Amino acid sequence: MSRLAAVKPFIYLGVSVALIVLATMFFMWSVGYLERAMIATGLLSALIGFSLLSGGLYALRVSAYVYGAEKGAEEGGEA
Amino acid sequence: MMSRIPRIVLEVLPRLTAAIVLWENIDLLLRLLPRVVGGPIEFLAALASLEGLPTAIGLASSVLAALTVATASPMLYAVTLSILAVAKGAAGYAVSPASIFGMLVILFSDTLRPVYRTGQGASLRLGYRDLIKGVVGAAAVLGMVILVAVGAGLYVGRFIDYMVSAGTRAVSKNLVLAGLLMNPVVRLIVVLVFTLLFYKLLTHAFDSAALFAFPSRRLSIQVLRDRSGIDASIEIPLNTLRGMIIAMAVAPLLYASIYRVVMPLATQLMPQLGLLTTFVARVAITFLLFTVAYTVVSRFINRFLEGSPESVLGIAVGVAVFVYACAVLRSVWLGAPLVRALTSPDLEGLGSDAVDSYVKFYALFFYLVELLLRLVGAAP
Repeated sequence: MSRLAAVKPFIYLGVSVALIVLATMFFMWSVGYLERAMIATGLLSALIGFSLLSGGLYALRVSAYVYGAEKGAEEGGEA
Repeated sequence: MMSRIPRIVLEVLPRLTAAIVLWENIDLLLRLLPRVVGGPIEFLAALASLEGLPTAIGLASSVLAALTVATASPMLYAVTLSILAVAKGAAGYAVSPASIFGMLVILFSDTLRPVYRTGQGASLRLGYRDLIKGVVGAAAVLGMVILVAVGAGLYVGRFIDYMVSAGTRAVSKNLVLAGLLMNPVVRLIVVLVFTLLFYKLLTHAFDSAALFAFPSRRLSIQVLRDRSGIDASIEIPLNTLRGMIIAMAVAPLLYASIYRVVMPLATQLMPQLGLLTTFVARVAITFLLFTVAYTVVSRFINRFLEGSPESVLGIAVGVAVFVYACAVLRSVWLGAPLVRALTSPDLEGLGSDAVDSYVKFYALFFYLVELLLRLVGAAP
């Protein structure tokens, strides 16, 4: 159980990194579509990129705060 | 006396840096002024004209640069640099890397100046490890910021390039689209949206990195307890445009329901309402319906995203009832008895009317939009 608690923030971190990587890919694709004059598709992929990035940043913050809560707890216990 | 040296350095360094920008301003003005100089009246007239615009902006930024030298304020420095960049860009030059790097120097000294106590330098004991740690940390932070900034710049540049080239290719097919894609204001909006996005990405990344480096239980629990603290929601850009696109699908249906079903019945009852079927009234109602649809749809989207499904359900049921009522009215109007009309409403006829009016609605709508864009000068 405590192992899960220790790993939990890094699961969030993994999710957030995956989402941000996906968002970056969508942003790249949107430029690619725009290059081939597929304007609507390009803008739509940019929009998807924005949504994914928003989710990724949310997960990133959650991971940081969860890590802070867990790690801070250990330090508090020792003191 | 020796103990005062760091203090003096911290006061002089930002002013020297600001002097670089002041010099760059003077250099620009020396290059531009010979083109516009004449008598005082010709000079003012030239400044007000389009060719004199870079010079006028350059003059404004010189004043700001002189103020920056006096105050050493980082905010003023950033504003000066931005205005100088606009002036130089309009004149066809680029801002020198030295003045961009100067921003770092100014920020660095501005952070250190208020917390530095006189004589603190003498009592500072730093081991090699601490020194290396500090230098590597600062370099890592700066490197990441610069990397993201350069990456964002390159990305936005390519995005804009492709947008413009798509616009030039679309000129022969669709004037409205080409006008939108090549419009400088649209380009500016795209650049702003992406800049804000990358800025948010960077600040969130640094916030999280700081918490990973120095975890604080008290702060974390405090933030986790309050939901608004961790909501790192990015406002999706072009919300307005999305609302408009959905409104575009909804508005013609309303138009069809009113003009094909409600209006014939109403004119039977009240003949003076026939005034509403004239061309001008139709155009006005087209835009009115579009505005109404847009207002309702954008509110509906926000409600939906804020997580209150009741109102969404309510609106959906309302639209369904409205369509059903229109179809029933239509079959009654075609001569079916009421009971038959209620059980088998004329949805097919309503649908074909809707398709017909989509075509008519947008033929009218885009004709007017293109006319407006041409009047404003955004489309050729």
